[in-house]
Amino acid sequence: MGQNSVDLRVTAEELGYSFFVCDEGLGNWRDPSPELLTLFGVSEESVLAHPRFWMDLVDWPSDVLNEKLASLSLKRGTISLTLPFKKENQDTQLVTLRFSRLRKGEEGLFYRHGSAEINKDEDKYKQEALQARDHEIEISARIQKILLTGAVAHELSGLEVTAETIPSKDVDGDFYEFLPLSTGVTDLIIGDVMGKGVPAALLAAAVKASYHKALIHRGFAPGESSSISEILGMVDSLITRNLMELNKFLTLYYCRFDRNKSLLSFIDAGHTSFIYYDKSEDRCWSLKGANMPMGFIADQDYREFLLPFQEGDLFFFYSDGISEVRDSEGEMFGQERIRQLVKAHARLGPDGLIKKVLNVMFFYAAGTFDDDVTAVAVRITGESVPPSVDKKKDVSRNRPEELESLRSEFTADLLDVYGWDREVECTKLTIALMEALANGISHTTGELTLYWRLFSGRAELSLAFSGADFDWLETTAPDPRAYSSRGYGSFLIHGGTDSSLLLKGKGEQKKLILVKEFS
Amino acid sequence: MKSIEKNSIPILIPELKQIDVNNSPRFREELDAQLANRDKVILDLGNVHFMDSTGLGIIVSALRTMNEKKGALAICSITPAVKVLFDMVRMSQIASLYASREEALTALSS
Repeated sequence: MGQNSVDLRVTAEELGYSFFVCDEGLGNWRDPSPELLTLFGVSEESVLAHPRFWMDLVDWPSDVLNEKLASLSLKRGTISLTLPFKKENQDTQLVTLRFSRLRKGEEGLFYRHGSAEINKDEDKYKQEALQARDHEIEISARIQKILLTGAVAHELSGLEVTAETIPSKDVDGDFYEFLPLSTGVTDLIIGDVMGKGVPAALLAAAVKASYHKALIHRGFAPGESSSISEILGMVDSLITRNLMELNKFLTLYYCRFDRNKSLLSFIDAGHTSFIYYDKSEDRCWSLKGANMPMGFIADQDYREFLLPFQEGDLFFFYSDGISEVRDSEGEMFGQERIRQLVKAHARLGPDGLIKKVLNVMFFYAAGTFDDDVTAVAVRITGESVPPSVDKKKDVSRNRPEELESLRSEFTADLLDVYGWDREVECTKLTIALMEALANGISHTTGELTLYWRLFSGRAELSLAFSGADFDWLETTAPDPRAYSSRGYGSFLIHGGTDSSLLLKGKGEQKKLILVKEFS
Repeated sequence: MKSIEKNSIPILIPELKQIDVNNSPRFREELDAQLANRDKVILDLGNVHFMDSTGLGIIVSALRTMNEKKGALAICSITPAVKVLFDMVRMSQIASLYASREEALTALSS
């Protein structure tokens, strides 16, 4: 211990404080002042031999404490934390720890200066109340860790995944689960029950249990899988009425990654949007589905959307704990910042990307961060089956005469791949394409880029343009008996496809993805 | 738009292969002109291989016009793609559809 440390000890004794120095992660302590040794009833030698000695004295489960320290260590400025310490043959004592950044060490690491002080103001009643609250935190954290999130295999069939949940002081109902169903098919369910503490965590556990029950009930087996809308419909019938009675609701994404088809199917029940990184174009898109949160109304009809993917594409899901975090000025982090971050760091892969996003977010929050955070990233690995037809067309609103030849070529390709016995479905898809083009042309001032990729069993179309928002979710046809001459376009797009999905990019960039199954 | 007359009933024959967002204003103009002062009309869509929602809207509008003046607009010879479109929006609920020009003539002449 150097001269400065001795001086610190003298100062500490004079002030009656207990000082120490610790590492950036807050766990490893050294250079304890005599007051600190007395406070914790340990010797200087034992601190040297076991720098994390103090953690054994905290009356919290070690995993809860570790998580708390991990989230606190990312904060800037002075960190304050009051913990219950247990001592042999004594009542639990509340001790407030304060950490502030001290200096950069020889190894290039930051160190912190710490102090420990017995919380003398707390009377016994307050201590008990705090312990009770901590007990609830402990239960919530355990429910969340064991039942709601838990460990995720890094490599799933054709997917590379990372998931991270950082519980706040008041654990809430963030949950997720990856479930490999068969070779190449993996389900992901990610959600958030509104509310805090044990009730929210228990409800989230109930949702996961209902999902498992629905999977079993629908008799899931490879090759004869129930669609995600059927399964979620069953989950809905199991829990929605209970949610409504309890006046609770939850938001979720139910996703199925099918590597055999290179296709994501998803249902969005009122969750925050998610990000899709398209590697081939190096672009990021923000996506949303169409359903309301579960618990708002009974017997929702769940709408399933389809999004084709390729090797290297990445999906990023997040809870509102990330998008709604605020800086010291009260400004929200927001979805656009997340989209930009994913675009800039998608190449890092799921693990690196999540670390980056969480780091940026914690610094943005400037120490005021107090909500649960969940982030899930999925990257597609392995090659996909190439399409039999893969065409790109530039369409201009200034060359309308091209529409007719484009339509003829598209129809000929469809009939060539899927055969004349599928003529009606091919025509419906052609109608959908022409409606999408008409819609795109009327909403943009520039060029449109159209792709059609025809696979055995599935046609995928994408139409990219820059233009204003429009209602792409309307699926109801006007009643012809009312002689309505407008409003058929959106209905025809949905009616001619199995999925019609609008992706939103930077500024006014839009991409309409149409998928039709021919299996 | 070509127009011929049989049994004093005008038969309108659009000569467009495709009625879409680009040429529909002209189609609307021509159809409206032909329907004026007439109470029985046949629309032969035999040449039209494709129609989008703007073309559909114009035909629904024409049906409304004829219905309001207690007239009749018979549609005949629709091609497979137009039939798919009409089926999707349940057009048969408001339109009289005939397989051929002759069938439409017989129906309107009675």
